[in-house]
Amino acid sequence: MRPDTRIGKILFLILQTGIALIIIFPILYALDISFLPLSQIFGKPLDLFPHKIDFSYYIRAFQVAPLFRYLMNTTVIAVSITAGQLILACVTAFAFTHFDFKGKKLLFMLILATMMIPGESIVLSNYLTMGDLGLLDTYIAMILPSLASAMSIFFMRQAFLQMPKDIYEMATLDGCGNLRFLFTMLIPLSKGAMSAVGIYTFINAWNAYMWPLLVTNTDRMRTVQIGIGMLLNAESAEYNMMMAGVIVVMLPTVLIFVLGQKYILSGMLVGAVKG
Amino acid sequence: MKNSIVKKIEPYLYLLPVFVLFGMFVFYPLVRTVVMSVSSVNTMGEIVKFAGIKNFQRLFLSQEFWRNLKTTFTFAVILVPFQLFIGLLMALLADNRKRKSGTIRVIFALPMSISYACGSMIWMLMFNANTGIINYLLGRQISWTGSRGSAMVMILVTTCWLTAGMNFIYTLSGLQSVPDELYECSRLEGSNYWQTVRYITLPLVTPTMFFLLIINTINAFQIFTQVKMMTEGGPGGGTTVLAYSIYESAFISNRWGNACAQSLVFFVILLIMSAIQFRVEKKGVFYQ
Repeated sequence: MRPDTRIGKILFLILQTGIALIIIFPILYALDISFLPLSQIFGKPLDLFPHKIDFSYYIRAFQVAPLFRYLMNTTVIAVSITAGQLILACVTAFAFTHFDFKGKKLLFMLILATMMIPGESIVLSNYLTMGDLGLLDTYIAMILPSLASAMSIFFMRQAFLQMPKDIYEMATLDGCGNLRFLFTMLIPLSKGAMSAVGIYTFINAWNAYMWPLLVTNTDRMRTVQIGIGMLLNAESAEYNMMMAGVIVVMLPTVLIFVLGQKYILSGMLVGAVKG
Repeated sequence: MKNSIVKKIEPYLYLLPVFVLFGMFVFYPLVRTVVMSVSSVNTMGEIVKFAGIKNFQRLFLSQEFWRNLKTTFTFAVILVPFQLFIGLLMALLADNRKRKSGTIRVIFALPMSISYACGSMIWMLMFNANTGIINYLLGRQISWTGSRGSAMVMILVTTCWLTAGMNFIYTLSGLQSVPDELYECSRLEGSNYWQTVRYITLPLVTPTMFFLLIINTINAFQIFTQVKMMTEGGPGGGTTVLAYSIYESAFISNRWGNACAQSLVFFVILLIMSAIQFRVEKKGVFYQ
């Protein structure tokens, strides 16, 4: 809905542009700083115009911290979490939508109950568990606790519920096994839902901070989110190099978000959560 | 015969992996936290002996705990109204009945894709006392990390920005569920934009706003990354929120029993908030 008076329309446009600028400003600022020499960043009066595009601070960021290693670690972890969470969510949702069994309601409530337990309140115990299992500072420690997600299960269940029941009946009459039905019919038919959950999960896994901070303690295993903090800890105030690092770390999720916006912005996820 | 047994256990097999994981990483740790909170725990996190409510006693008698709790509540109370207002404003500005997507929506939602760690780094630089753009624009030389108040403002502004995308998306989906006919009617009745927003849109998005009120409050209680990166709880513990205090007690001061008692308090507070949400949202998440 839009205002219909002329003044209203102008005001509306000004607000729209103004807020869009405020939202995008920090990102452009970081991008800008990543190209500026320190003399310019510290110079008075302030001149933030990039007179030449110089990638040397990006190279510097990769030299100061093992950013490549961090990027690789984070990619392995985020991809594994996304794939694992999707498969598990589909299989679990399938059991809830296509089968009748004892305790179904209770088990489903139990899954929803996990949403009420905030991660911060169990993070210490999980850390100790990982220690007991000798898994500290491994990929497994970072992947395993994120593989099961009530949100994803709930959302895939919503998607499967919307599928007409007759395809399942027809497929089973034709002798199609359950798992085959799930993987060759149900999942391909729920591409939209899968994409939304997948993008959402990947972004969250890529951006995770507290858990990787606790369970990693060597450079070899650290993720990008913890790694960029290392750039900050460097004694010198090389802000251009820091922002170059930040841009590199942000790029994958921003790209995925922009490319997959139609799945995220369609409000499907919101609808599923709010019911 | 064999076939029917297989059929009976089949759904349970599909549920098994998820329940093993939830058992290991959600339910068991909750029990373990409870057990540790009533035990003497050494600096390695190992239980030494049963201690009753001693950890809680010590926690409730410490001034820091109440200060941290107050800081956490203060953050939530100031932050949430701003978040709701920003989300609503952005959603109203982007609600376009004719086009379902567009550049403006992508830009408004963009902070969703940016990690708290990266966002904190950028805003730290913007708030930097010497070179930051914010001091430059204000024409002042404020050391934002220098006092408790300014450090809180810094974290609040950063958090508003980081969560703007999420609040925008949720409010927008609430706005879009307002039927076209109502707007049509309102227009035919001769009401202007403000009247329509005031008497049609706002009442109809109240459920969404309530949902967001709870979600934002829960998220505000979970603030950690911004504090860890921007202030490390300082100055002088002034921005030590509960989640940060749990981390600090366990991993920096090695007081695991104390940290577990705090975890439990944290859990109970958030549980109460979720319970309120489930009660009020009758149609809720459960069944359609």
